[in-house]
Amino acid sequence: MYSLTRIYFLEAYFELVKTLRTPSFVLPSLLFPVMFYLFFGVLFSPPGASNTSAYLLATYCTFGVMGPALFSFGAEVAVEKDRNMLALKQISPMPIFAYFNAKFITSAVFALIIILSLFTVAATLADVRLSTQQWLATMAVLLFGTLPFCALGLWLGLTLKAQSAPAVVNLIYLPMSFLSGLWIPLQLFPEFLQKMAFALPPYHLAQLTLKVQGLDDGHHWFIHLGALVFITGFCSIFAYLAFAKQSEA
Amino acid sequence: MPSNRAKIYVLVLVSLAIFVIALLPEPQVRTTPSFVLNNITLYDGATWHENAKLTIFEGKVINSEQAPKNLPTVDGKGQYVIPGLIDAHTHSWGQALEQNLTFGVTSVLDMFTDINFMRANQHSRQQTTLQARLFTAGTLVTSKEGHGTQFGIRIPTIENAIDADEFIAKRLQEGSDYIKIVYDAEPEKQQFGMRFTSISQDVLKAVVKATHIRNKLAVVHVMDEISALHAIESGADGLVHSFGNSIMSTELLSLLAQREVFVIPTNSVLASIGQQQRGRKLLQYSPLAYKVSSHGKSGLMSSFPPNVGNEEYWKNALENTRLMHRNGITVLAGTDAPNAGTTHGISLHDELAILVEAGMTPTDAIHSATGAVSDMFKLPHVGKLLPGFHADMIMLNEDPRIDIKHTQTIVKILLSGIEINEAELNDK
Ligand SMILES: [Zn+2]
Repeated sequence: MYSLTRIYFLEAYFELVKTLRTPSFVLPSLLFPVMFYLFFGVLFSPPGASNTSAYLLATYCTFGVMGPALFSFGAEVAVEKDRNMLALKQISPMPIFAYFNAKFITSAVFALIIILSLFTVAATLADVRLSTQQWLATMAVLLFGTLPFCALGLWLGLTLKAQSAPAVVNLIYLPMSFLSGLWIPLQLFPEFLQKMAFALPPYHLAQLTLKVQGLDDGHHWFIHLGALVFITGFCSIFAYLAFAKQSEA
Repeated sequence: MPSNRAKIYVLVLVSLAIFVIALLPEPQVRTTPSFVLNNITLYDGATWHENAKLTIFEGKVINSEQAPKNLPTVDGKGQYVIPGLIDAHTHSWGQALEQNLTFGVTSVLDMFTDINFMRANQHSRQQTTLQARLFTAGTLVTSKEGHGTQFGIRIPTIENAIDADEFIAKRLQEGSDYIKIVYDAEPEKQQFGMRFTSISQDVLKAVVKATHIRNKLAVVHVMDEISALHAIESGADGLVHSFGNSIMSTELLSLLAQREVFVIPTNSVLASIGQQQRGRKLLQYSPLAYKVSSHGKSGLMSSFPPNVGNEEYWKNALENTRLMHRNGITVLAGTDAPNAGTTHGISLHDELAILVEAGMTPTDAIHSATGAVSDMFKLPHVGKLLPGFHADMIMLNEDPRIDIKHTQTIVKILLSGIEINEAELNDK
């Protein structure tokens, strides 16, 4: 007997196991945020400036959770689409939504592991101290914050060719992270770049995450939430259109 | 069965998350104590009381009649209790706030810091953490390539009076507690061998006005007579420096008195400009010298290049402080730490000593670092030991009325009534 929840559950499980067996996905997405944070947030942060470490914890977590979302949707969907695996899933009795759900669960699990590793590094090596509510709130904001990047990834994955997808996703992921101030605080950028960051989705997720500690730029939380909801909606619509076109073909 | 294995994975992941979150360290939360401090000689920020008692309830001073019965009592026999000191002119980053607290400086008025430092530390001033309470101007108001732009922190600058309103609104939105403006009437003269531009007097006026409309104080950095006159004309509430390149004119002194403009002379840094090496001496005689970190020592030992000021510069500066005090102008204690020759905390004790050298009584000097700062900057909870104020205080072994250097005989430092444990502070 295959109940619907069981289908969802198993699809997510197999997707996760498959992804965990892909070192080219696992290693960079887990190691890069931690390594970057060790480098900029721990080793090179000025002595005694635990605030810098706490600030960068929020921004590198944002950087970290974006990766799996963009890649498991962006690059992976593109590959599976081109190998016609997506078409196979569409004609199988499994609801197609279970397929996307599985991808979401996978990126959320990765996000969780990244968040927990960065938290541990920050607390042990950079002396970051937050209240339990703040740790939890930071985690919750980041986990929900993967959604807009899942949507963006999905749109890209359904639009891009398999060969070019990873490169294009990287070309969006890395510069966008940098320009949103995830690697180096935005205050160190020229003013026009600071203003430009406002148009970038990671900036808004980073600001919401920083708000938990009161380290944000001082805009209202609903501005950032609104921006993220808008991006999720916008990308979902385009992903849906791309999917509809794909189904016709 | 993959389904069973999957369930185990979910379980492992969830418990891992709970486990990690539960183990993550929290900031130390301190419960603010309640007690009665008996048998003390108390300066409450305005007057001295012999054989006094101080009632502290949950970290604040309260009226003893309103206190619950049976509060624990502490005998303070033989001790002189004064409010925690306030340094009215500092620049904070790194460990500045922790360092200040070690020397009994429980609050600081910062006159320009990085806005990230401001954001991270300003909110903790209502709580009890192991640091001095931070009040700050945030980003200062200066011109493009003006004084304040040389420190490598990228800051917005202002050129035109028409932009003043928006500029000030932005600073206050960022969280500035008051506005600090840099002004030089004759920037072409290149004081101290440094080449800076300055905002015009029109911009100065517009900025002060925009600040006053929003009910905040506007204080001005000036380093000579003519700039000081312009600043007062423009409506400044206070000057954050005095100067030593001339003796203040009667005109300036009477204007300061008439308009009730307060002055933070920052004698400590003016002495350093005048090659006095007071920092070095402080390390030799102060009973607090042992607390100075190696970083602080190098600050105290350093000096300005000899071409920027000399003995005469310092004599004038000291005379100016004397004149201001004699003319009834409110003088507040501020060091401009960590400029050359100064460091956070210990330098404020030396600033008090200088104020006494300039003719203040020790009580006046203590007032200038406690009650007077509270009054001038309208700080409702710090600088006094009256009902409603934070129980921030230092307990001294010797009577500071006899010798101002006795502020350095600190036995205990209390922040919100909590005794500051130095080992813990250093550990941080
Ligand atoms: Zn200064």
